[in-house]
Amino acid sequence: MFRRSDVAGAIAFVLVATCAGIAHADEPSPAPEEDPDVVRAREEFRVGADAAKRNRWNEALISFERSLKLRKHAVTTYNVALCERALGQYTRARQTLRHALDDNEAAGGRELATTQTDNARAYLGQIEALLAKVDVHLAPDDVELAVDGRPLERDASSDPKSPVWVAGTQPPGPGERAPSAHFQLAIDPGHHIFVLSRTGLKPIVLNRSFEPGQAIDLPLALDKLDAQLVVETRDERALVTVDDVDVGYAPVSLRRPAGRYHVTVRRRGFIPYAQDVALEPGATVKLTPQLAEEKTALTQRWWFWAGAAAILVGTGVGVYYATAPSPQRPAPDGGGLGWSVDIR
Amino acid sequence: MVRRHPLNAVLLAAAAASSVGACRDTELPPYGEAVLEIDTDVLVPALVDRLRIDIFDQEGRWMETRDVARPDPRDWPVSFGVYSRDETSPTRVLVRVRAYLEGFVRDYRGERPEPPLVGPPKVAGDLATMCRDAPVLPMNGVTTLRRGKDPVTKTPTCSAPATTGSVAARITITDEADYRVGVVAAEPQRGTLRVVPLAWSIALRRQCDDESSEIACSAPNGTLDAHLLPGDYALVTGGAARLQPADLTLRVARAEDWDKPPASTSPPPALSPIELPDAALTPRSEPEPGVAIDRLVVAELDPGVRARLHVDLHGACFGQPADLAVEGGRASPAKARTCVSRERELQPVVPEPPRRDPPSGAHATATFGATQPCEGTWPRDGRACIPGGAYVFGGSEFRAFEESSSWPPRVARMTRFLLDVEEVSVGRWRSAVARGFVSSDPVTPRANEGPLGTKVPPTEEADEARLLCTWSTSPQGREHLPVNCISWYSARAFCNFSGGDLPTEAQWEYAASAAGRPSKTAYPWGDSEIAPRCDEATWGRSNDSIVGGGACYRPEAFAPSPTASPGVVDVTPVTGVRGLAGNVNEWLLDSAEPFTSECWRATGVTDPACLVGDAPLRSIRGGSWLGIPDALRPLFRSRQDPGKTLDLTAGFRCAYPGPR
Repeated sequence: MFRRSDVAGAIAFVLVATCAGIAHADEPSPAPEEDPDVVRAREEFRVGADAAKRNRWNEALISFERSLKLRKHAVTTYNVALCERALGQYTRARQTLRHALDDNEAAGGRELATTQTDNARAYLGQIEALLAKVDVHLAPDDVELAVDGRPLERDASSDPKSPVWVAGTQPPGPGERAPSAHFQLAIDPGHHIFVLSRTGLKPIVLNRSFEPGQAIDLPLALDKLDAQLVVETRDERALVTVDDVDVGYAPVSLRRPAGRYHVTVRRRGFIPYAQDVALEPGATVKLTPQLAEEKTALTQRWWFWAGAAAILVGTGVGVYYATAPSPQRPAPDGGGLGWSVDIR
Repeated sequence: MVRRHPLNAVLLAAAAASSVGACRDTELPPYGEAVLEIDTDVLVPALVDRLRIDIFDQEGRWMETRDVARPDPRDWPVSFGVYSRDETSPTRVLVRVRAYLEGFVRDYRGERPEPPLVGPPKVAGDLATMCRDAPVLPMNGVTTLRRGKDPVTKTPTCSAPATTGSVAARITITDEADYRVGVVAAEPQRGTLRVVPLAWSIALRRQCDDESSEIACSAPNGTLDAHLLPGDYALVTGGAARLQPADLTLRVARAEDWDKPPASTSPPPALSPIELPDAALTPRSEPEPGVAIDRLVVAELDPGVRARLHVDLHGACFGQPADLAVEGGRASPAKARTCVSRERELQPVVPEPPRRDPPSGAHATATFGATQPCEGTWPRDGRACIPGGAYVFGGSEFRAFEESSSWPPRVARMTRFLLDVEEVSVGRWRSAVARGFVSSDPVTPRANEGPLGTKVPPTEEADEARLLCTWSTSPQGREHLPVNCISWYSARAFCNFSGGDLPTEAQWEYAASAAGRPSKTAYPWGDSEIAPRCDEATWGRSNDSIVGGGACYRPEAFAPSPTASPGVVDVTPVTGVRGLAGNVNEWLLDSAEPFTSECWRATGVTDPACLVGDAPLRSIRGGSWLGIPDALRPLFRSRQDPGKTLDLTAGFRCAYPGPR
């Protein structure tokens, strides 16, 4: 959790920036022939600046972006970056600020005032401190990854030998293949939704939050993501075991690591139900067995066995008296669990 | 377990018939055996729904383990047997039973004995005491000490006189060389994105309690470099900061070694490995101690005797792990200790006497944490009655965030208490002042004699910050808004004046997520997968969207909400408390320490709290009108400098003893 003092400080940069920073239109100056695109660009620019003064950053951003489409200018790019920054879109703001500085340099340094280039560099430094740096470890790495509904983008200014990837700068779209099993990710502080997909499997959605400036490891061991196993039956007192471990009477809802499990459901007088279940990471599997009563074959009739018992008992007694059987010891009592431990 | 089949019944009948003559003539006695019947006085499945059983022989070797689910109260008591085939000598068996909640487990890495409690950090009240208790600061090591608010010494060689408390440490120099001493960490920290240490200075003395022996002093917030001859010295801190407690971490090293990492002074916790005979079968997890009742029992197995033992797992023993006294990979039954029925109390393990009366087979009445209902009609007089009960305090939701983490969890039994229905408002504060209340901290609440500002100030210390304070010495039409810009000290004084105190973290979380409900909820009003809308609770009204903080910004609503209507859903069911999520963060009584700290380890099951007199940080929860949606969740912990006077988001409500 960033401290409230951190929030205020971060806000300071923005407010100071916005109070000082939104560049107003000394430039671009109208083209001599009053090109309609330039006129519209200027109008959009004015609307954007107006909205920025009233802290309506979304509206300002839209207007500046429209202006930029009609006429490229480093000042407009710079203003787009400030709006993105005010809206908490730091990775986008960083990228846009860099574009503004590059565009200015390409124009011989004439499009941005010195204070604006100085401010741009200062904001870049501040944004670097705000971004969370996440060391992502993927296992396995053959997943497609999207963050907040956008694929990642490689930070062009990072070292090609150890590239840094950035979230939030690409247009919305499906996830793309993760760059590697281990990579660095720069991401805005706050809530994010990671969607990891693998062919043939349901996507896995994860919520993660990051603090400003946080440097953290993010292990995403997909195979180790728990799955959920639900066993429901209308039969009362149906005992569920998973890999021979007693998990209680149905209904049960369990979280288990992904893998294969042998599930049995038993109830006295009913045919046991057994099923091997494969749990995928993040998946939910529900079993609803219907136990069948054991058929009462002749050999299931009590009187059959009672009669057989009577015969055997009689025989047994006779044999005993004839042969003096060895003494017996009472069987250990396993209690309600039916579990008796021999301490050897 | 033997599978039943009619044929087996026939054979058994035959065997039984055959044995009739044997019983008459030469029946063998049973093996020495004990059947253990395990029951509990806590609510099943609300507080426990699994039982873990570990069996050790009399030499302490771990023999067997089993973990069973028993979520149905009808499945209790749980019984099983142990026996010995030795027909000549009695033997003993050590049984460990742990009742706990499904899902609350941790990796098993061996037995982790609890380190002994050493007590809260001492704050020196005078120079002699400070110097007498000054610890040795090892070379290239670090030590964290707590200073109080009040000065105990002058630091004559320092440029700024000491106007706050001090800490002292002793160092021994063995070689003549250049050395550096400094404060490498300070809590609380102040500042913005950059950590700006608290104002302090560090002085070097020949003798700790002799101010005239001071040799040198650092620059404010700087390190002290000195060429030192062999001998003993004392380091004493000064400082001209705002009066408040603070934790300072001191370090000393040779100047050339300063950039190397300091030696760690805390040994890693000992893990006593212990495994089953087949190590591969050793369980990889064990119950999380805070939510487990852990009991050791010794059963005597006498040849020919079948005993029945009844073992009660008492809720008072939640969070008190048994001590197996592991040596050489085995438990030591003779030295082992266990909690039987009293909080935080371990006793030697003695053989359990056999039960004489026949077992009832019925589960004991759940008395631990039984609901203490609120009689009569509530709320009344602005106070809600929070019924007593037990719940799991803490959880895993924010485990990854160190400061906000409420892990590990623990079971807490809460006594019934009263809680303000609403956050304390400006009007209520004014009414108390009119009745003679005087704030202990004269500067808070900070007053704003004009209209509320329209934007978040550049820093919290800026003059514009006061424009977002709701209190005013004369009414400005904000009587219904919560008081903010208030220190912990003032908030607490108000509650004391009103006959109560600030709520503890356990009380607050209980009221916000569990009281009167069958299970904990994600928000005070109930469970929801997504953050509330902007009209449902008061949050995110910052006019700068930092990390979602600006999601609810509207220029016409740039302020906290009235305490009576903080949001259309922000009303806690059953109790009727309003505004626990959002609006203003709420000061709490506890010192802000991690749940793994000694302070929390030392507290018991009933009404747990971490209360330290001079705490540099106090807990605060609930989220605020400027804040992020995460902070609206009851499990989200925050902390703040108790002396802070311009926190635009800090307010409070009071708690009171429950009706008798």
